[in-house]
This record gives sequence, structure tokens and C-alpha cells, in this order.
Amino acid sequence: MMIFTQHVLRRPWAYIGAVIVITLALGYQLKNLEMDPDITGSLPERIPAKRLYDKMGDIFPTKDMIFVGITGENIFSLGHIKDVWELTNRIKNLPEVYDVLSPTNVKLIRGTEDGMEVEDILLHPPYTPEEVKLFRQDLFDSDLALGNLVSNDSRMLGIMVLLKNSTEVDEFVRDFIPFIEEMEGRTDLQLVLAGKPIATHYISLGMQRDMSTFFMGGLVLIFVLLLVIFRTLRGILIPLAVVLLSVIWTLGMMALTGTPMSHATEVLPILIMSIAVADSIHIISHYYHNSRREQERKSLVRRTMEHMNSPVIMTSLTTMAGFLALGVSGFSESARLGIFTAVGVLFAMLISLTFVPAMLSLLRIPRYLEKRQAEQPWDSRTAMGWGNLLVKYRKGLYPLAGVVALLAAMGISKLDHSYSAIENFPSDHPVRMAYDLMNQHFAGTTDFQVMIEGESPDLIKEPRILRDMDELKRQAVEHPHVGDAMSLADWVKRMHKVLNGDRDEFYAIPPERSPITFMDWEERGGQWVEVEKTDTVSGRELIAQYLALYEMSGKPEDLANMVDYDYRNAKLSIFLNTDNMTNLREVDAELNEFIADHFEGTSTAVTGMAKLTMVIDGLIVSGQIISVSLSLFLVWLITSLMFKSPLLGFFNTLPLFFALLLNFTIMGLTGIHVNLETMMISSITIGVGVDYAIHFIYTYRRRLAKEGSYDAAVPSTMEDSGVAIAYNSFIVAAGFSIIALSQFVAIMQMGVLITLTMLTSAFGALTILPLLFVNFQPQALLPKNSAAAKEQA
Amino acid sequence: MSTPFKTKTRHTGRAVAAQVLVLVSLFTFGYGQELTGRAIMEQALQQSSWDDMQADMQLILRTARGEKRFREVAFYSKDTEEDLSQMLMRFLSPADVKGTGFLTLETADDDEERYLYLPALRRVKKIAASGSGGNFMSSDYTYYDIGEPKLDDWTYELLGEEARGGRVYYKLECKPANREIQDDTGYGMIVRWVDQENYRIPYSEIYDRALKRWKTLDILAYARIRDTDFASVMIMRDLESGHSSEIRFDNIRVDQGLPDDFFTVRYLQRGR
Repeated sequence: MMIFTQHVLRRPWAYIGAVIVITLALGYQLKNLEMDPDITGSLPERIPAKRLYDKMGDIFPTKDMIFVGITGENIFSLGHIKDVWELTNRIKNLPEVYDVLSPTNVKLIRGTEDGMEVEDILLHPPYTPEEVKLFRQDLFDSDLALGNLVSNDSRMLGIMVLLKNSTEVDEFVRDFIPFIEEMEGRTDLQLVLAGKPIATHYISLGMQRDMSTFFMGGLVLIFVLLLVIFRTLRGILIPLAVVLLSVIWTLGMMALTGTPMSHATEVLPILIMSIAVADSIHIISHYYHNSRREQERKSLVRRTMEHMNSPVIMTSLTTMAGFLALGVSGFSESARLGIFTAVGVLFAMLISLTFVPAMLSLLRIPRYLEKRQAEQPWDSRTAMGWGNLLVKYRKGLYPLAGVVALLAAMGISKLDHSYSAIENFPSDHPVRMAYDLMNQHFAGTTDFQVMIEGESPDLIKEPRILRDMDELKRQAVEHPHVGDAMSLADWVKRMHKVLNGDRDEFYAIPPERSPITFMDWEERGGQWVEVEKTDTVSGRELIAQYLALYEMSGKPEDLANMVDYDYRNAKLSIFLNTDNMTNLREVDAELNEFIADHFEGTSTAVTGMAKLTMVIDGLIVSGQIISVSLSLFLVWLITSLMFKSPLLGFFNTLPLFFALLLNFTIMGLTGIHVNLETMMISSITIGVGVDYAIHFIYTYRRRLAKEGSYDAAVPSTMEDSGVAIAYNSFIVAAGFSIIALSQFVAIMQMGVLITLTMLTSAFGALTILPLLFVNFQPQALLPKNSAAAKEQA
Repeated sequence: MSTPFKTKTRHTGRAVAAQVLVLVSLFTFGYGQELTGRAIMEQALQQSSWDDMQADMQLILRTARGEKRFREVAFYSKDTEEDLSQMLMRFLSPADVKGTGFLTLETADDDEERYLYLPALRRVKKIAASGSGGNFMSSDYTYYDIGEPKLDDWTYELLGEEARGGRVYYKLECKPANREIQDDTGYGMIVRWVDQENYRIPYSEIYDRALKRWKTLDILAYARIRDTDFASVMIMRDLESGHSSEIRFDNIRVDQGLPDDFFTVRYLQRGR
């Protein structure tokens, strides 16, 4: 490695120039960096529910829904209904909108004296209170699924805005929010917005805000840290440059590869900043440390790098390994974060090994004198004191292990996993408030979609299929959180009823065969007379003809969102007023149980936002287990190779175990859920935290060889590396703590937890390892060369 | 005395009067200005020369994604003595609606009565007419589109001449004559290309109330029946949804002597 440093020192300007060129090139790419706040977009294609969801978008004209909640004093008043009518029409006229389901534009299917009529409930805005009264009556008599159009207490109205699949949802929402605000200003109505597109929009806004908070907060914090530690221009500017360059390179690389920033990757810059600054602080402090002994610039830098190359490379590699393990988590949001943080760490390493020595070699030898070095500084004394304490109370290991095990057992058993895009917003955030309001009063804004794909055209007209759809709806709405469901079956039932004298017993799917009586004309003795006849009719034909009747008076696309054009595929939408994972799982299980022995001749499966949310949650849990195991394994492998001992590799992982155990214990006890954000804690902890153990074992081994005693090596190691480890963990933890400033609950929790794990993994390295070493005195720590040499001799 | 789907036929008194007007104005204003949009349209919308008509009609509906619905009906029409249109359709396919009958009767007050016979129910159902803007058999045609063309419903402006595919057309801008027509049809404007030679209208562009281009109507083929051009293949495309509706007439026969009681609810109910 020193050859490399020599090379840098021979041509410092070439390296600085190269770094500047790369920075300009990648920095230029930043303009192409995209934001992708939609978590479901990154679900892999291999997930059946995701494939089905996309297919649903191909078959049906709309899948994204926005819910508009409308409140006003006495909502069924003339003025309000007029306003709702206008609001509905104006939304419907927006080019991105496929259709609007509103109380003022529902299609009434009405039995008339000699037939049936299908017409809009209001042909024009109401002019008199009587018309409003009639409208209200019609609405409640319509047999339609009104769950999301009228609140349970009839005091709020709701509008469902169905977006075309071709709509750029983000752009639409950006214009739709001011549009709704303008409408609110023109009327006495209070309007709230809910639904996934709205949540996604606010996630995007929150991300942007978070990212600038993290970035500015990180810079200020790093500046202050550097000011406190070095108080010199180069001590501040060089690490700051490393941090900025690493972030620019990484984000530029993301832009270059077309990887968007997402909800999970918003923490990426601050992670890289914290990790990168730790490396360069190390280098700079060694540089100052050596500056007393070296009089020549290049030899000072060479000497510094001689000590620093290996640890910087080693810790970078292990950190990268920890993050890369996230890359296999199966969920591309976190995979992206893992891969690009690894890339960022690699960049930070490259910059630290080239740019930093190159810059330092061009600067004059500092006249920086560490006065503190003269006496025994307080931190070294404290570290040695801690080491001696551990040696003295070595049996403390057992109660410590016992307490940790007990806490872990208590905490981890309470650990729950739940992914919710909504609960991520603080409870006073407008999105959360709108969501709560809507879900409290309406059928709900979270949807399952049951996709019924028939083997042949016209299958959906079969009475048994429609009956299955109807029965599934009946069973589903028995669940307390299922507010309503909507399918073609509702329309067929309604038509069957109105065409049979509006009698309630006909509010059902027609049976396979049923007797009918009818009047027919017959010629009797030259006279046409009406006679009563009876016959049997097939339900299949009856349904086909009801639908033909409906189509006769409807528009081509009236039923398009429930059944496709050749009646092969249908969709049953089920609305829930919660996205709580336990409830979603219950409903999903019920649906699947029903589907298993119904809908013969179709392939029927569940998808929809609720299902995708469940899938994400499942991926998070399985991804968590895989990525934690993998990163622990990688760390073990690398450190085993590094120390040429599997046992020492194992020791390296122990402080991480401890930190993770504690982390999950805290999560369990405080009720923080395992979710997309908190799952990343493990990998970050392993990647960053392993450095502390490596440093400790590395130094301890040297000290053990020198001191010859397991006990004496502890305070000695503490004095040497312990202080550095503690400082390093404080610096990184401080950097990560910026994440706690996030808008989002889960990211904020992640910030707090990850700050903690940085401290606990350092504590683990500085407590558990020495305790283990003095208690068990493992042979592997003894210098191998000397032992092997002795044996050979 | 008319049916839908006809475009040009023999001259009637009204048309002759219009031509006289044209001749008069020829002297008054000089050539090129006198031929008003209205006169052109009047020329194009002339009356049919037959009493009754029957044909096999196919309606092919296509979505933007290429899904298709195909219906075949036997089509009958005859105007009453009061010049009100009567139309009966009997479904031949698809199988599950075979025998379904559809009767529309124009009423004296310019409205329409629509009845549907459902063979499964053995019953005739009246369908409430929700204005002429309603869709005909769930297609992109409104009842207005397929109904009796009404010259006075529109005001016409001749925008000029335009060549398309080697032929020269008058380009006409037609605007609803009043607010009711606009609300009823949902149309804010129709631009029509009228062939200068034969007065066929093979191309029309329909604009919505916000004057956004909405649909196009292309007539792809004409049948020559008794010296009259009968639009036999036409396609209406909804530019917004990508949906299209094609109507084809085959086996067109006229003056087969359809009795008046053919167009009654009672006959409709007899089915088959």
C-alpha cells in the first residue's frame, strides 16, 4: 500500500486534479438525480401480488385513487350540494382524471313503471331545498356502495377521484392540492385529501426537507466537531472537503446509473458524511501527532499514511461488507441504500487515500503543538481506569451477560413488525390528520383488490361467479375494519331488483334457473289477446341482458373499472379504514380462504395497496433476517482472514451482537416497529460498528505481545485505542443523530436507535471484549509467528 | 320521411328553395361568397327516397387496448306519415343477448321513446331517454349522432376550401344554435369536410363544450341506393379514451313494405 502513497506523493497535483475532474463530472450529473417517493414502485417483479397489481393496471383503466373528504355545517344543504356538484364536475373535467365517484354524480338505476332507467342522480345543480331533499332520498335508496361517498353519520361527503393509468401522479397531485385549496376558498366547504398519491406527495416533500436538514445539519455539526478537535484551517477544510466530495461522487453516481433518491435512501448522504469524516479525522490527528517528529512535508505524510492506510482500508472494507449485505435484502429500496452507501464508503476511502495525503503534502509542516501531550490527558487516564476496573471485576461479565439476556428476552418477544406509510407522518401532520378523519368517517382509504381472471370471455356473467363476488363482499364487510366493497355484483343485484318491481327479495344475483311468469300476445280467433304464460329462464341470460340493458343507456366505459370489456376479468374493491398490519393480515387471510374454494374456472388472487403494503412488510422481515445474517457472516469472514483466525473473527462480531440485541430490546420495550427504516439499523450498525472491535483486537494483540499478560494488556490497549474508539463512536453517533431531525417518525426513530447502536457497539468493544479476554485468555490472541517459530524450532 | 345514416338524396322543396336562394345571392354578392355554410350543409343533408329500409348491421366497439365487442343486429327503419323516425333492432349475436329487441320512436315533441325487449324476462322495458347526448348501444355514437340530422340546430360558417386525399372539400364550422342544443348533445362545435362534387361528408371532427377536440367521425364507404349515397361503413373515434365504434351495414334493402305495426311495443315483445 505504501507504494501507492509514494505515487500520490510524487504527483500530488495529478491526484488533486483527477479528484477535481471527477467531482466536476459527477457533480454535473446531479441535475439528473431523481426523487422516487413511491415505495411500491420498487417492489421486485418476482412478487406475485406486484405482478398482479401491474396487470390490473393493464386490464382496468385506473388504479390510483385520491379521496376528497368534504365537511361543512349541515352538509345536505342547498348551497353545499351545489358546491359539491361544481367541485365534482371540475375534478371530472381535469384531463388526468379517469372518473369521479361523487354523491352528486352517482348513476341511479331506477325501476320505472314500465322499465328501468339509468341516469345521473343530478342532471343539474339543485335549485331548491326540495331537490336536495329528493337527492338525499335517491342517494340513500340507490343500493350503491356508498361507504366512501357518505360518512357513517351522514355528516360528511366523500369524492373518489380515479386517475388514468397514464397520469403522472406526482405532477397531478402537485397541481391538484392548490386546485382543492382554491375550491375551498370559493366555498364554505372544508376539504381534506387522502389516498396513496397524496401520501406519496407529502413523503416526497418531507424527503426534500429531510435531505436539506440532514445535509446542512451534518455540515454544521462536522464543522463544529472539527473546530473543537483541530482548530486549524487544514484540520477543518480537508475533512470537510472529503465529506463533500464523497457525497457529490455518490449522488452523482446514483444519477449516472439512473437510481432515484427514495424514502429509504434519503439518509444516504448523512451516513456517508458521518463515516467519511471519521476516517479523515483519524488521518489528520495522526498527521498532527507525527508532526512533532517529522521535519519534512512528504516524509510526515508518508509516515502518517504508513499507519493509516491499513486501518482505513480495512474498516472501509468491513463497512462496505455490512452495507452490501443490505443489497441482498430482496427489497430494492434498502438494497439501493446498501449498495450506494458501500459505493460512498469506497469513494470516501479513495479520497482519503489520495486527495488527503496529496493536499497535506503540499502544505507546510504545521506549527501545531499538542500541549496536552505533555501531561497524561484526562481521557487516557479515564480509559486506563476503565481498563483496570474491568480487570478487577472480571466476574462482572456473568451478571452483565445475564442482565442483557434477560432484557433481550423481554424486549425481543414484544418486537412487532409493521410497515405503514401513514403512521410515518407525525400525528399532527395534515396527511395523517386527513387520513384519520377519512378513515374514521368513511369506509376507508386502504384497498384490497380481488382480481378475478376468467378462463374465457363472458365468464363474469355467470351467476355463480357474481354470487361468489357478492358473498365475498358480505363476508369481508363483517370484519370491523372493512368499511365497504364494490363490484359488478352490486349493479347486477340492483338491476335484478328494479326490474322485478323494486321488491327487496330480488336484491340478489339471479339464480341459475328461475321460473318467470309473463304476458304474451296471442292471436285467438283473429284477435290479439294478452295471455299469461310461464317459463324457466337462465340466470346467465338474464344477467347478460341486464347488462345489455344497462349498456344501452350507459357510456362505453361506465362499468370499465369493475369488469373488462369482454367480461372475462372482474375486480372486487374492498376498502379498509386502517393500514395496521395485523388487521390487513386478518382480512387477507379471510379473503384467501374464501377464494380457495370459490370462483371456479378463474384464477383469482388478492392485490391492491393493502396487499402491497403487506408484501413490503414481509420482505422487510425476511430481508432483515437475511441481511443481518449475511453481514455478520461477511464481517466474520473478513476479520477472520484479517486476523488469520476464525476465533478472532468471532470475537469481532460479539460487540455487534451485543449492540443489536440491545437495539431490538429497546425497540421491543418502547414499541418501535421493525419496518423499512428500522431494519436498516442492523446493517449500518454492523458495517460501522465492527471497526471498533477490529481496532480493539488489533491493538490488544500488539499490547499482549508486548506486555505478556492478558490483564496488563487491557489498560494498555484502552490508553492506546480505547480513547480513539470512544471518540470515533462519539463523532459517528453525533453525525447519525442528525437523522433524528427527520420529519418522518420511522426515520427519526432510526436516527435515535442508530446513534445508540454506535455507542453500544463501541461500549461492547470496550467492555465485553476485554472481559472475555481476561476471563478466557484465548490462545488465538498470542502472536502466531513466535508460537509457530518456537514449534518449528 | 327519413332514416338515420343517410347523407344525400333527392331534392325536396326546401332544398330547392335554398338553391333558389343560392342563385339569388350569386347575383347579389358574386361567386364564392354567396355559397353559405348553411346552404352547403343543406345540400349535404338531403332526404332519402325510400319509405322503409332494412339491413344487417354490425357494431364493432374497440377499446384503446384493442379489446373488442361485436354485435350484430337486424336493422329496420321507417318514418311515420308525420315524418317521425321509427327504428327497430333485433340482436343476432352475441348469443346471450340474441333476440333482444330495441325500438326507438321519435315523438312529436322532438323527443324519443326507447324500448328494450329482454327475451330472458320476456318483457319489454322502457329505457328513460337521458337526452340525445346519451350513448347509442354503449357506443361512441350518441342518439343525436344517429338520429335525424336537424339543420336548424346549428349555425354554419364556411371556413374555406381544403384538399384532402386528392379531393377538395368545403370546410364547415358548425356551432350549436342555442344553449339547449349544446347541453343536450354535449357538443361545442363540429367541423365538417363536405365534398365539393358529391356533397358527401366523409370527415367530421367533434369538439366538446370546452371546444376541445373530442371525437372524429369518418365515413369509410357509401352504398348507392336509388341514386342516393347511403353511409354504409363509418367509424367514430373518441380521441380522449381511444375507444372507437364502427358501424357496418350489409344487405341493405329498401321499400320492402314494412307494416306500421312492425314498430310497436307489441311487435317488439313478440320477439324472435
